[in-house]
Amino acid sequence: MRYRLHTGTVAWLMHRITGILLTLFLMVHIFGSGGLPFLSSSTRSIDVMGYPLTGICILFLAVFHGINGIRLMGIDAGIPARRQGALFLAAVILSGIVFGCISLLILRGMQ
Amino acid sequence: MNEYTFRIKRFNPERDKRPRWEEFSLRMERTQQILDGLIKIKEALDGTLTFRRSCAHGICGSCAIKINGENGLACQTLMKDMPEMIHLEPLQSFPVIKDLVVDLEAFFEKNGAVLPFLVNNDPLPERERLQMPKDQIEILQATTCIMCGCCTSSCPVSWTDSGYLGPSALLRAYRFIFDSRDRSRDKRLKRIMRSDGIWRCHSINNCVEACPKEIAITDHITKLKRLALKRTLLRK
Repeated sequence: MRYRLHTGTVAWLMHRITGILLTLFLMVHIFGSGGLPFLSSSTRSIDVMGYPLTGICILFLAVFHGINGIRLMGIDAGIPARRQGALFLAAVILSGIVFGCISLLILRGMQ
Repeated sequence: MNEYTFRIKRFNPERDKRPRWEEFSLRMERTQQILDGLIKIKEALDGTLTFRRSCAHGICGSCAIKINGENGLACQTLMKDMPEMIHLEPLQSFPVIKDLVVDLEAFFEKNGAVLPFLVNNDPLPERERLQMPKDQIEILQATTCIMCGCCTSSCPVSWTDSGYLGPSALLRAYRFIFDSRDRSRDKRLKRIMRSDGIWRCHSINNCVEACPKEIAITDHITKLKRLALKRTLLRK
């Protein structure tokens, strides 16, 4: 039996996974935007932002990673560790609200 | 009396290639401890079962094990809080010596690395070294640590980085760094500010949930981080 998943472990894993995915996106985006002239033209033509679903996914990753980062800063600033469950829940709900609002604005702009 | 099944992870390095699970059925009172069950198994069912225990009152920390996926003291966990099936394992991330006994040598070495003793070369007072009540409150929680290893074993950073000092050693460092009578604050701070120290703590807080003495370990490490940052920025 593995160690039981606590809120902190889930938050820590999600923060790392979203961070890794954002880094991967940035790398693909830099290569794809043609900023690196030594790459072949076919490599430079990859533009992940050209796909709406990818853009929405990246938005979710960035919003969650950013808000969870603020939660971690809150803990470093002295918010008691015992409140971390409520704090993580608040971060997830806030991420959902921010993500939903921005997604709506993007979708409206596309119409 | 209720019927309980103890499912224990057994491992004998002299005989087994890998750990195996073994089940024991026991009738126990709801007010009894997990440790009572282990003693009953050793005395009546299987004398080869190996586990540590000493005080049986939550003071020595010897009987720390993983109980149904969470670290805790076998002597402090009552049967009334347990389901009928109880999974018992040795503390995660420490090398297993036999059954529920783990090798804590590296753990104690890390605790030793932060100078876990009062350093004060001032002239000896007539009686004991006095401390103001507010200074005592600052370290009160940290002094209740029994060094059972539950926190370090529950920390995902410790699972992946064997060099990390871990929450227990950092708490021990806090206990003396914030002790108004101690004079070796800078030496300890210097030690815990290395790459295997406080900055490896990612505020996951498993240690807080695992601590049988209910010490808010992350809060203490956070205070150490703030002090370290202050020292670095002000070059004190």
